[in-house]
Amino acid sequence: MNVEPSSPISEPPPAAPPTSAISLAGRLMNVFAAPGEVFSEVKTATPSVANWLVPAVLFMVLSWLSAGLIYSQPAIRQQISELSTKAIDRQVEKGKISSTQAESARAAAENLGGVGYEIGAAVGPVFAAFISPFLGGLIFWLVGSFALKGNFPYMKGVETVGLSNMILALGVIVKTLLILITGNLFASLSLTLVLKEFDPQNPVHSLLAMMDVMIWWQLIVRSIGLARLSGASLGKAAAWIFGIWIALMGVMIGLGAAVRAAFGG
Amino acid sequence: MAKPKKRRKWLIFSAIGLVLLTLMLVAVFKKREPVITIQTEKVSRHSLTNLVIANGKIQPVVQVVISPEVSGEIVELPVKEGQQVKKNDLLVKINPDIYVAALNQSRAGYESSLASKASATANLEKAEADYNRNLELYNHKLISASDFVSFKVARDVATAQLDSAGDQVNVSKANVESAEEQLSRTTIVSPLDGTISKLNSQLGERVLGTVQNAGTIIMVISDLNQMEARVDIGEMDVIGIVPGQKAQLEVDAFKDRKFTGVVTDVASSSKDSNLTGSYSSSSSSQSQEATKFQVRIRFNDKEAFRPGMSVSANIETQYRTNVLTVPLASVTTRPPLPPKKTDPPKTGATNSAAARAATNTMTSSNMVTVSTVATNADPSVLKSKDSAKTSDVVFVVNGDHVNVVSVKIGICDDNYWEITDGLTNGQEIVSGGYRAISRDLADGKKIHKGAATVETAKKD
Repeated sequence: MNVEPSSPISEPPPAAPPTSAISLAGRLMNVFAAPGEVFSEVKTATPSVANWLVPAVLFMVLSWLSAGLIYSQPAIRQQISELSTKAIDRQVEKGKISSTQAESARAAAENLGGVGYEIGAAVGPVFAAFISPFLGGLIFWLVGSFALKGNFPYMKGVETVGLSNMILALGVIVKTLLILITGNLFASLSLTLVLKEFDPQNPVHSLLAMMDVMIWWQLIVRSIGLARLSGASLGKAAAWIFGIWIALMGVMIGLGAAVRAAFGG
Repeated sequence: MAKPKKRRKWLIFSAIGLVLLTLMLVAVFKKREPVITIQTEKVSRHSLTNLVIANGKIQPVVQVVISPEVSGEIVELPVKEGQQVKKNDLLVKINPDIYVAALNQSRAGYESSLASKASATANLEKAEADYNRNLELYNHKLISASDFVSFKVARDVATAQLDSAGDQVNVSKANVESAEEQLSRTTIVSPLDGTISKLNSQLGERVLGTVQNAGTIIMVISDLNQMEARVDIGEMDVIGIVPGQKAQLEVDAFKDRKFTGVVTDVASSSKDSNLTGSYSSSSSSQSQEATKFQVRIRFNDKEAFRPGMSVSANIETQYRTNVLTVPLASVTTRPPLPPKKTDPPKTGATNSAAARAATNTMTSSNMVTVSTVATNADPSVLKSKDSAKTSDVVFVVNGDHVNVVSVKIGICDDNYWEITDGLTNGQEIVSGGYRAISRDLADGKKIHKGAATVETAKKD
């Protein structure tokens, strides 16, 4: 009786990564209420472009709508006009330009100031919406992989940062409503609400603007995301996220002051 | 476990939704209006001097143009340009030959007329004697009547001839005098002490002279000891200028000195009008420029001025001492408010300015004359024919908004308007920016003070 040697037991095929248990809409909404849950799932689920694309598109569309609504307010248009006039007056006071040049500059600002705002309002959100997840994701991945010794692919960082941008989208709505209520272009849910007149060129005012509820909420959500992706503690992750943010803000404020000092702004 | 999580989620979503809904409702129902940034100053007291500025030339007060009354060649010219001359000094001698000949001719005619008169006298004596002799004969009927008449006629003729000869002597005498006068005009002497400010002719030139017209201008003599500025003033300003007003003068050639003067004369007609005081057709078609009137200002100071030098004059037309003033930029014009027929006078701060300003009429040498401002309190003041005119207004700061106040303005200088009615000392008014005052601001508009707020209130 011949007994053929039995074939080796074939190993079952590797299990496919689990598909997302929460729907896209659920993920987008749960970022506000239960971000830990969302990011835990993102870590294990299949990569999903929608996780960063949908918030980016939403942020972009909301920004355009907001810009259109804000610019339709006469008080805001007046404020934009006054900003450029004030800047020109400052140049005249410092002797950088003559009165005649100032008049020409004021006329040009009156004609083209609105155009500048519209261009900025149209183009700015596009860059912010699409650069933010990739640049933020890169920082996320670098910190998570090397500082926190985590192990997750770059695109997971992109998805996490992209999802946290839902906070930004909500921030656009809140900021728009505050601007409409106060009639102040610089209104936001921050300590600048206590200021009578916000001066964008004042470093102290810029610091107060950093104390924005929506920004801090987003940072906390990102901290949760980083902690879940890397496996580190929330405290460590938050320290890194907040530390990097503070450093970036400090560099921007310092650069702004340096540029103003150099060019007499 | 899942239920508390779900409850927490719904709580968070509800909180977010509530906040958004609240903000939306506030945004929708809140009244929004632009807040205008302004600068302010306080109504204060200053002394003002209204100046009228004009440009012109320096000319001597006394200037004589020398032109001959007779024609001829210049044979003597002992003066030169810039030379000082005294009264009766010889200036010009014209060739007298032709006039000497004329004089001799006229004298000969005179002698001839005298001889004719003597002859006529002798003839009359003879005719008189014949008449008397034949009258005697006629009376004794020794001659006929016709014979007697012929002697009578002869006597009458001789009488007439004598009269004619006498008149001819007078004519000849007048010719002699005229020739003498013409001869004397060949020598021209200076009518005044002065300086030859311009010499047009040279020795040997032929000059034309007439009695009725000016003729060739040989030279101009000026008294440089008394100089005046002749400036051109526009028609809007000239009504405020009267002789006696002081002026400050700046001469281009003497930039480091300031001179003073007094207005001595104001032209009654403009420079465009002709001799009759009316405009010629050619000048009216050309007169697209402003109408100017000449004003003369006598210098108080002596300096080496020369005729034709450029001068700029600041004429002090009006003075006000320690009057209420506002910055020039604060005053603007607005159409008068439409009247409300039935509303009673409001006592609120927002309408106090309108209720205060009833009728305003402003006059000044360089001001637009306005009529009335309609008010809630007194609609009967508004005249329908004046409804189209604007009125001078100032914006008074009242907390976080402004009220428009009609004012009466007086004179102004470089910085301030005099306010004769409508404001009180120390009131805070809008003094900038230009666009806000001229266009954006209206009664009740919300304002926000910018950085450049200056308080210059002075106590009484």
